Amino acid sequence: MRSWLFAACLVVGASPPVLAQEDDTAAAVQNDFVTTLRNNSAKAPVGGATGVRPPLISEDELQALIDRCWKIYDQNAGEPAEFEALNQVLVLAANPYLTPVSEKSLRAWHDAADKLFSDFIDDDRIAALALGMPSNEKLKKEADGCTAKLAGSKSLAVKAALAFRPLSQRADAASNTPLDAAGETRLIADLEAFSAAHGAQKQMRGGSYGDWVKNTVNALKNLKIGGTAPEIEGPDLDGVNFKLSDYRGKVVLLDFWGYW
Amino acid sequence: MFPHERSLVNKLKDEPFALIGVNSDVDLAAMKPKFKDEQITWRSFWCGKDGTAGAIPTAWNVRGWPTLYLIDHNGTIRQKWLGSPAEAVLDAEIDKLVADAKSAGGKKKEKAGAE
Repeated sequence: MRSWLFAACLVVGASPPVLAQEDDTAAAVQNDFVTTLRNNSAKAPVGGATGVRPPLISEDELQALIDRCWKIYDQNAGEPAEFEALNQVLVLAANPYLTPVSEKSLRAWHDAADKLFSDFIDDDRIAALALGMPSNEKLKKEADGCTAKLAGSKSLAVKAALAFRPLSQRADAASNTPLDAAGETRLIADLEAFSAAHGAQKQMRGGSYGDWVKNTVNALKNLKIGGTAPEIEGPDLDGVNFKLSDYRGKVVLLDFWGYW
Repeated sequence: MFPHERSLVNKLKDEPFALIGVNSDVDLAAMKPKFKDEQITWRSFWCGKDGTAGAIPTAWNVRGWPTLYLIDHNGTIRQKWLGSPAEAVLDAEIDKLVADAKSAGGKKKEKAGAE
């Protein structure tokens, strides 16, 4: 109900209220953030006559959402609400939809990061931040400082995330531009060493880092550009079995798709 | 992506080209009428009830949708894209490989004729 009211305020162009109810949560703030983007996007379609994307959220709208996070944090809501409120400030302040970035939101990012990277430095949840620092130019220096602080974390999830990042970049690069044999051997050896040290740790979504290494090594060996496509055999959408190799002799565009 | 794929399938229907999907929708029965609306006529493998975590996307290390692989007439992987490539880029790559496939097919026929 509350988010509906909030959205309604935006539609009629009134300034959004700062909600300070005790039951406000970071998830509710995120929800209202997404609603705001959607409503503003409907008002000013991307592209338009000029082809220029207007900011999808105003400075005031963003600040109201950030203020709600600080209220949640200041209420001493306990865990996990406080971590989530600080984390939500980072999400909001570094969002790519307000251009140019406001000084106020940069300050909010700084303040929230300051607390998160001292009070929660050994918390496993901070590993998500080790994986996804903002790419925003103005935050780069601060983000690098936070990454440096993470090196001192005692969390095994953080240690795994820090080791994962450069390896995943190398694997992605190798996926686009195949390595020579020596380079491939070296990367696979580094991946196996990473798996031995951190393989049991869970990734942010789904499986473990060990699974990630297994799938990545498979891709390096069997899915490279210039290599033979692995066979696929299975049912089509009507339940009739067929094989990818049935189409040998033809150029095949293989599209992994879904309608969802 | 679908409109461009429809036009590719149409444009290349007499050429040595096939668009093959790997569909990761979990509830296939519910989705099928929508595929019909979108005129998705090309053949797709189905990933099964595990959807994006199914055996085929796992074996192909698919980490985002759509992912596209372009495979030549010999079964060699020639390009891959995470996310839709620009239409002009995709068309140019396909045209090049289709021309290769046709000239290879032509040579085979010549050979057969000479024998």
